[in-house]
Amino acid sequence: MRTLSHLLKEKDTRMKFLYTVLVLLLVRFLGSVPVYGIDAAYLQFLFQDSNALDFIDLMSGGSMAQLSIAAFGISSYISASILLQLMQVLFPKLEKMGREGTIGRKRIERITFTVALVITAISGFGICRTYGSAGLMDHYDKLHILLAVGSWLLGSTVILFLTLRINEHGIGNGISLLLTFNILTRIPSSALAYYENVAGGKTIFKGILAIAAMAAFIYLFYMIAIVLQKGVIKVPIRQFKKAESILNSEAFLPVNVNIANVMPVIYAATLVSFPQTLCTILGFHPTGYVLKLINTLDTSNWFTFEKWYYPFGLLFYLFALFVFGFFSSEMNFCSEEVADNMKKSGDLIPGINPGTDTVDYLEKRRKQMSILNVVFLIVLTLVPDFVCARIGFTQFTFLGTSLIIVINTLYDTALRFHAAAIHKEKRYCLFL
Amino acid sequence: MSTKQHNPIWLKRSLLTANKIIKKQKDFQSKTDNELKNISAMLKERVQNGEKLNTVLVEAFALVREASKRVTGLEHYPVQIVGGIALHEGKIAELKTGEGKTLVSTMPVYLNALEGKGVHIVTVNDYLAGRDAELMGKIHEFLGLTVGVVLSGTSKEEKQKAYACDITYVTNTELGFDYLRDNMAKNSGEVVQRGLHYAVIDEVDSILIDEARTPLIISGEGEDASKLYLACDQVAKGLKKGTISREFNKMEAIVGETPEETGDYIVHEKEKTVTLTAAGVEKVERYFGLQQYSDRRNLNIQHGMDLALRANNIMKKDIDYVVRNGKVLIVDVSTGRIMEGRQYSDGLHQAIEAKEGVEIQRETQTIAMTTYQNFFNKYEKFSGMTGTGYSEKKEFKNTYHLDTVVIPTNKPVIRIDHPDVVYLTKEGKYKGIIQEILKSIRKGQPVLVGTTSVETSEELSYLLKKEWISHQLLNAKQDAHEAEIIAKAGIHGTVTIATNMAGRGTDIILDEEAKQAGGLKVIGSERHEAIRIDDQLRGRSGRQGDPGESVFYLSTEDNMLRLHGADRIRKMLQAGGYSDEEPLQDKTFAAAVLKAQKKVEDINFASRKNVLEYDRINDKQREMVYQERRKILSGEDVQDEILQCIDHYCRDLVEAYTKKKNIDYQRILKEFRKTVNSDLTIEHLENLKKKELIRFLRENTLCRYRKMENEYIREWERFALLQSIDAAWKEQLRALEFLKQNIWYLGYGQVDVKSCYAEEAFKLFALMQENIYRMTVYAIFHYIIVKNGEDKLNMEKEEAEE
Repeated sequence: MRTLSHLLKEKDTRMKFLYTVLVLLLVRFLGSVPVYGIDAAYLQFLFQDSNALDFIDLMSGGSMAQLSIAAFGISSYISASILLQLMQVLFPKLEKMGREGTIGRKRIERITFTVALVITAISGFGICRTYGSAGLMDHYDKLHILLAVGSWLLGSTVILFLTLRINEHGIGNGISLLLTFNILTRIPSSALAYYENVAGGKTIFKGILAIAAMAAFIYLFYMIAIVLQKGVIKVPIRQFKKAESILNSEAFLPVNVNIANVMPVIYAATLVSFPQTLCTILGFHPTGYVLKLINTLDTSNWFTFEKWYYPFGLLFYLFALFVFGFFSSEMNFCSEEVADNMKKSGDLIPGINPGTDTVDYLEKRRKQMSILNVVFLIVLTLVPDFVCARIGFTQFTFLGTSLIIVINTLYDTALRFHAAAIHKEKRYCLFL
Repeated sequence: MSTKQHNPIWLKRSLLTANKIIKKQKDFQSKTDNELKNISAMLKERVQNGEKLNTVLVEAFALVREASKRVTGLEHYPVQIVGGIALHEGKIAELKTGEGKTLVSTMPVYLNALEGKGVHIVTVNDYLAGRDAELMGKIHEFLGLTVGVVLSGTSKEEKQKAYACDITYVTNTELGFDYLRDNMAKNSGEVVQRGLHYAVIDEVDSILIDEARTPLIISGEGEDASKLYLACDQVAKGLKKGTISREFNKMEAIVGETPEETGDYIVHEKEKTVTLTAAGVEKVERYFGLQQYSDRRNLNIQHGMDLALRANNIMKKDIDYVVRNGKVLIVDVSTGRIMEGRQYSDGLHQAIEAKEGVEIQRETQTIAMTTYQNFFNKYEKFSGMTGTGYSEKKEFKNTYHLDTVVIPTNKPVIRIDHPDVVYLTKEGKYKGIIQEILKSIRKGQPVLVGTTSVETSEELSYLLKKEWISHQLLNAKQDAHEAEIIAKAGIHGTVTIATNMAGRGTDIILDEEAKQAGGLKVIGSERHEAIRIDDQLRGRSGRQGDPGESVFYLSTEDNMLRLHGADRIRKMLQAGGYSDEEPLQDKTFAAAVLKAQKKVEDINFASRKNVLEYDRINDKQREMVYQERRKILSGEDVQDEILQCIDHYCRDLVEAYTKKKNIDYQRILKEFRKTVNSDLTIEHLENLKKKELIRFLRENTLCRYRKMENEYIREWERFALLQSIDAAWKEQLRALEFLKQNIWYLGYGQVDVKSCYAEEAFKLFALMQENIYRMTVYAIFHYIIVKNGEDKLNMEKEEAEE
């Protein structure tokens, strides 16, 4: 709180803070602006029995469920950045661009932006085509489809434009802030749903017990997520550029436990839901083996143990998690790249020669951390799923990946706020 | 140059004001000189009695115009008045070459000097400062204001006098260093400046942008390690340069392919670094008899080898530096001038001295540092003028909060700018340039050939000699006759080869024959790192409506094109079947060249931004320290501060040796006895609780301190305190520098690196505070010796030098 008041004292940081808050509120407001000709009630009915959509809805701050003009903004930007990250690995030219100073990075950002708009258009169009005639749209004709897609495009453009500018004109990372904001604002309604679902209709005592149990449960996961967030191996770095001062503590290279972040879960979840999504898009009603496969891969079935083959879906999912864990950790922490940069800036890990030795050493650390990261992810995402499945409640969306995202963003924002205001602190005064 | 108007509304309004000023001047025309002086004095009084500057603007500007007419014979054009208004409003005015920038500055300078708080006119070199003070100073003196000049050789007393004047002409380096030195002064009599009120910066883009990447550093002497430098240099010269099969690439790294390396070391030109290969590491280990190169104990050798390799492979003689009288002198790339008294930091200078076989100086250590960005932002108001500034509009706005306006030229520029001529090889390019020179001098046209380095200028001079073409050469090695060479450069048929020394600020005046022959022809032999500097070179031609031409001769072997995108051009040229000597002037190549240049500008911009963002955090600390210092220097006495030092010291001491309520009495006693020079014993301390212990130590210290009372102690305390602050600040600068070099690693932990830097920097600041308190207490009880009424002060005084 004191940090905040320090922050508001200086014009520069005050404007940044205000910009951030205003954009978040504005985007939130856009999330409730409906698109002409779209029947939101129909969509809510659709949403009721789909897990995958639930998560997307959560990220979009509920605007997805209403198919408001903000519906696709965030989710398509996230898809676009994932897509671009993959493309950078496949096309070295793109990767080189990303490393070529601000111009390159800006170009990548622009491409991501464009791709996000294309995704918005495709998804908007897809939804209209699939559900339009079934009752989603009041008038199912070309003009109205065009109108709806146009509104979504406009919404996405405005949201993304403003949010991305938070990075420059506000404090923190716009997209993560918006995500977090959306997730946090959903807590009350989610808690209410839980209350009605679990505690409703029972005695007061049992109701309180259920709530207390849930609170303890959330607190436990909150703590685990913090451990995940803060866990780090500090690899000491020796620099021979300049003799350090006696004041300095030792320089280090951090290898985080949270090295891959939530990406493995997102990749793996996309993979297991892919067959179902494909069928929905193609309008194909699966039967026989295909249906069995889809059911096996459906998250909500894993913990019901209704069929003997359901657990195999879970095993496949776990396997995918580890594979993607290794993959995305390499995206964030490429040992070769780190070693190369170290060499060029003239730094060493004490006792390890530059070159292949350093790469091997870092690679070992990265792999350790990836495994640990995936274990954490399993605990944080699958255990809540398991519990929810047992008590027959599917609405508890702010655990799992959301929790990790929220903790991550809060830490980041707190650090930025504190750093921006630190010089105002009274203890940094030589004499009073 | 485009004649498009960038700021029509502002310009229109200012022209109206300019008309009012010209009208007002008519009132003054009939007045005698003395009457004008009286009007000026009255104006000054009105302003100092609180009248707003804007309300007296018309009167003041008109007065200057009339005075200028009487003293120098020059009368401001309306557009020059508009320029003056822009400067007064704290804007950056883009004025084309030859439009009389210096005259423009007289109006706002006079107006702001009326406040009596001092106005600084900042120029890029001593020559310009002296010249402008001489020419324009007369106008101000005519109006009864005082004018001073600060040059690099000016003594402290003269500086004090010059800074005390209403108007001070000074070079940017001297101004910045004086600021730093003032903040190192041990008594208030040493301070030369009197606050930063208003500055007009001439060639503002050169100072605020080109020089912004190099911080201003004052350093003291460090260790002598010449043997190590020599040994490393010898090894570096014996190693073989190798190649790397390809650049780093993420996909291939993930697949697990590592690039092949040959030789002993690899030179990375773009990153300006050199790295040892495995074979190289082995050779170094063998030469120095090391077990393992990367071991902590070999720090000095690692550092020395890195420097020696860089000195031998990255730093180029006659490009980055020249050797003169057994000394290595740095050449400023953007101005082509020698930077007197400046050194490369962190041992690189010594490594170059080893490479060139000249005497190796002692290492240096930073004792004060700032950047131009943060220095100029301390002014209440500042503005600038340049011939090329509009392209950097955004940076001026973001970094300095300055708007940029383009002032229209008095007469239109009729210079013809030809498209670039691109060759495949350097030889082809040189041949082309010589042909071009011959073509021009046959017509009697004077030619100025601009080069980016001393080396190129000498190569061209050599080629011209071979062709028996007489010419004059101006570069950092041959700068004795600068004014003479520039004066001759406009005479018909003269060929002048010059580095950027002839770029900015030089006025080449043409004779009648030269004008007849088509005016000055400027030939650029290479692109500079910024389009602005190219434009400066072009701007030497076509001043005040004179005719002129400009053209750039480039080759795909030029450094910038080679490193940033010549591949495409080269392929296009070869595919087109061009031979070495066949030139081409084509739009597509121009676009490719422009792209390469933009890339370099972008890299430099990012580097400046980086310097600024880190220094902004440092500046918060610097401000705190300097503010405190100024208070101590000017304050009555520092007893209050000393008491606080004692208080903090005792608390910090006990805190440091208390772990979870376990107090280490022995250590505390040992430290305390050492610092306070006390004879307490363990019996005194034992059994005291933490709070009691702190209070006991404090009382004990205070008691001893009060006994020292005598007539000199107040001054000595002040000295001791300043000395402690300076020493701690010096250490802090070193710690911050080290932190900055390592902080990027935290980026791999996916956190905001700059925020982490701020956090860590302030942790260091807290340590520095502890040091200041402890050192001050130590100094009081050790250096201030009271003996038989005769007091001795025994503190080592540090010689500070740049």
